[in-house]
Amino acid sequence: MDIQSISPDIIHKSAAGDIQAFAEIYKSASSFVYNVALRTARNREDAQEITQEVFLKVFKNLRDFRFKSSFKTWLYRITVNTALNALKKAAHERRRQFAYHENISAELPTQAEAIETSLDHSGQKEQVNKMLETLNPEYRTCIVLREMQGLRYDEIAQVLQININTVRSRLKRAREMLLKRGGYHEMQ
Amino acid sequence: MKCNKFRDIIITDHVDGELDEQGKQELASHLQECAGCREFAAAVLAVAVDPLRKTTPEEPPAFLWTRLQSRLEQEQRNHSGLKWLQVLATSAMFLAMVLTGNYLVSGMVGTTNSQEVVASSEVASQLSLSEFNDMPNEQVETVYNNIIGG
Repeated sequence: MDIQSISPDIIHKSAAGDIQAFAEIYKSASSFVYNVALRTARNREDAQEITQEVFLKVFKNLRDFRFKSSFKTWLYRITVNTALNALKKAAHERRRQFAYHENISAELPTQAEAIETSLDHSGQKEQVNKMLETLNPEYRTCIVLREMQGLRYDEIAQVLQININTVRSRLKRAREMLLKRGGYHEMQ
Repeated sequence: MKCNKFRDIIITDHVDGELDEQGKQELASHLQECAGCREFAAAVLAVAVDPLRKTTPEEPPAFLWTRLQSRLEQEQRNHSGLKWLQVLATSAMFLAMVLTGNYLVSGMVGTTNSQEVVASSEVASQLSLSEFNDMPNEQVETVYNNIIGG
């Protein structure tokens, strides 16, 4: 069962507060939401928090859903925005802690060194997460929607409410950064 | 078209399957003759695309729904409790307004009538107003000024 298969009847029932009907939405969409959260959050606990927050928002706001856009796009948008907000909050917290421990961190390995080390020693998922961590939130969201969910450019543009050329340029920049991190240097 | 233009296409539309037929043909013939771009295309796939695409999605842990379900039920209880509170508060406010209005209106009517009656009868008895009935207006004014003005 996937998000496309959610019927308007299930949406109406859920909007009226039927938790059993909402369970159907959860079953269809939780995998997508959780995996986007996993790729944007720093750890599983945060991803679980984000997932829960997304579904709470969906439940609370379903009565305002007017079927003007597809339910899938609407849900994707809530997921991405919630994940982005969590990411920005975490980045803010890290900056605050970094400022506090500035002297200590000078003795720690740089982010790039840490990534290289982890590429050598950890599993594939960890590698992917470390790769994604090096991207800024906007690039990361684009990549996650494209690579994980296989969204087309026009679908990504709809979810993120940006121009299709912006989608293209964000993907380009993101992949160039990943190439650079992966040690690839262009040769003419 | 120069290599950098082809590389822009390789890193986006090509790996994402967004190229039209003509674009595909142009790129294919360029790749046949350009080793640098072939290497670039292979690197893009190996480093920036495949590791992400090959990651198998994870299922959320089962306890997440249980946790969410109790949050939703809590949310509903809060919501219905809040709705009842709103209904109660609105009713109470309406009742208070009606009662206050009723009290003020009846109080004003009662006070005005009774106070006016008492005041006019008191003044009349104290001043014996009947004695002024036949007095011309100018004289009433003089008497009034004498009393008030001392």
